[in-house]
Amino acid sequence: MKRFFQNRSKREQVLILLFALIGLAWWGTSLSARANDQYRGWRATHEEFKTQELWLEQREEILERVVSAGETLDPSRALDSAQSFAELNRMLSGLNAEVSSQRTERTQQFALHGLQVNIRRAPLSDILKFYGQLSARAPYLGIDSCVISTDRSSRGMLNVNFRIYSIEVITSGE
Amino acid sequence: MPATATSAPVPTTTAPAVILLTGERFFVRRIPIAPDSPTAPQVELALEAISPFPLEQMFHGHVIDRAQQHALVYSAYRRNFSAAEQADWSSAESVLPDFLMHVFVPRGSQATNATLHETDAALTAIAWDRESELPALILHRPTSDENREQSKTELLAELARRTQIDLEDLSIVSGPITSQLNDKRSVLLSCEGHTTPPLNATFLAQADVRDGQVLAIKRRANRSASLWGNTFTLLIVALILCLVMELGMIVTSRLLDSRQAQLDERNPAIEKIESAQNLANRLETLAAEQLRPFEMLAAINAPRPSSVEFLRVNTRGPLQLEIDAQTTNANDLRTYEAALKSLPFIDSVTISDSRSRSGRTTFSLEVKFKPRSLETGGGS
Repeated sequence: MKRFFQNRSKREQVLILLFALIGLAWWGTSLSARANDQYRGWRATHEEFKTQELWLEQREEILERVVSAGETLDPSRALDSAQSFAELNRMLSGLNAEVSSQRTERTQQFALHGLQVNIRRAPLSDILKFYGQLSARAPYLGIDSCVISTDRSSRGMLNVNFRIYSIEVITSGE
Repeated sequence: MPATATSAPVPTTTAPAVILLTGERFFVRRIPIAPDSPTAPQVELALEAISPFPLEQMFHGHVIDRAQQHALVYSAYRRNFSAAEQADWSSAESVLPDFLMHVFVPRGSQATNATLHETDAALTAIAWDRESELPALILHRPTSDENREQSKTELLAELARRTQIDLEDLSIVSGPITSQLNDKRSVLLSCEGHTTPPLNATFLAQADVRDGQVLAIKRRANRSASLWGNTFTLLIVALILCLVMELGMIVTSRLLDSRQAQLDERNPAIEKIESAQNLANRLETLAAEQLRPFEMLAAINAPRPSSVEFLRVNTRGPLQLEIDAQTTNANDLRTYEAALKSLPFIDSVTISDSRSRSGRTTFSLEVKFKPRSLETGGGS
């Protein structure tokens, strides 16, 4: 190939070099950008793979922890999503309240249902009554988080937002 | 007159890039040289002394032995070469006398002291002695079929007389000397199974009979061509590298897709494990500590000055409260903080974002309880 090049005239050599240089610059730039992207993609995939490997390595240990943590629970007192929804509605009767279901986390043995309860313009005594009923069902029903604020339009009234969980024990027959 | 008394040319075959000149036109001598001094001036001085013509009217060249103690010098009268004959010289890689083949062919331990090279038109006799690997003498005779035997006898007799070398041990070579360029543009001279090692342009620079100026122009042109050629090679190599990288990227991309598919396949299982992990954490937290917002509120309400009002209470985990509050007495703020800190079940108290406007001070209160303190009646 070098001989082919050296047998060309000077003008042809200049043109060949020029076109080869332009081609190389064009291709090289594009290739470098794509290679960089691919390298980053490869790194990200590699990291994700390593993370997945870690999770898989710890799988048995985590499942054992779940079983161990739930050993004290009585399946007959646990509530599934519908039961907890109904139970909360019962506890909130007479209150200006709204209940909505949220996400559920589930394993083979347990499910943790999330519910949102918003109580509007209620006196502290009514809220404490609800709280008392809720505490009686602990730890099968419990509070994840709570925001209590005074109602600006009605003095002495409170607005309360509860994020509530309910634990369901999944028996092998289900 | 020179020792190489010849008149008829020795026919040779030349490749276009190397021009071989028949030896009968050259005056050849081996001269001693001083190894510590530059060679070229010594050679020119010797040629001026022994040559029948001024140096400017001669084409000349030389070869140095390995010990750098002898040089084989040769020169030819310029007018012996016609303009037509010289037309191709400027484009040739090398212009050399053909007898250099015998000089450059390696001589083994069994090599004879003399060689007779026969062609259709000429005889060349070469003799070596022990002083140098360069020939002691090279003689040429034109010949024809009619007088071949007589010429041979006379040539060998002259060689023996002038060198005092025993010619009983004589090797005979016949046929034309040919030249060729290899891939690295080195010259190879050969004849009847005898071939020189590859002789590069640098090695042959002094052996070339052309003028120094012509050779310098030729070298510059060669350097320039080499530079362009190398640039071209470099570009081609770079393009090939790009191609290799491109192919590599295709392979890597396939591997990446396969790995990604593997990750996607495992993702549902991983999500389940993550979910189980969250659930385990939650169950463990619930077993350790229940969130008791109203007990916490009751616990910090006891020492509350009457001027302080809670506006909004937010839980942060099972042991922390964030409270937006206001007071009409800014002094009560520090009093309340001190009172809270003195409580045994309080871990820390932080008051921040205090703002006073129209006699009313608003602030944020962050209270952290000690673990399990609420179970022991701290909040009652």
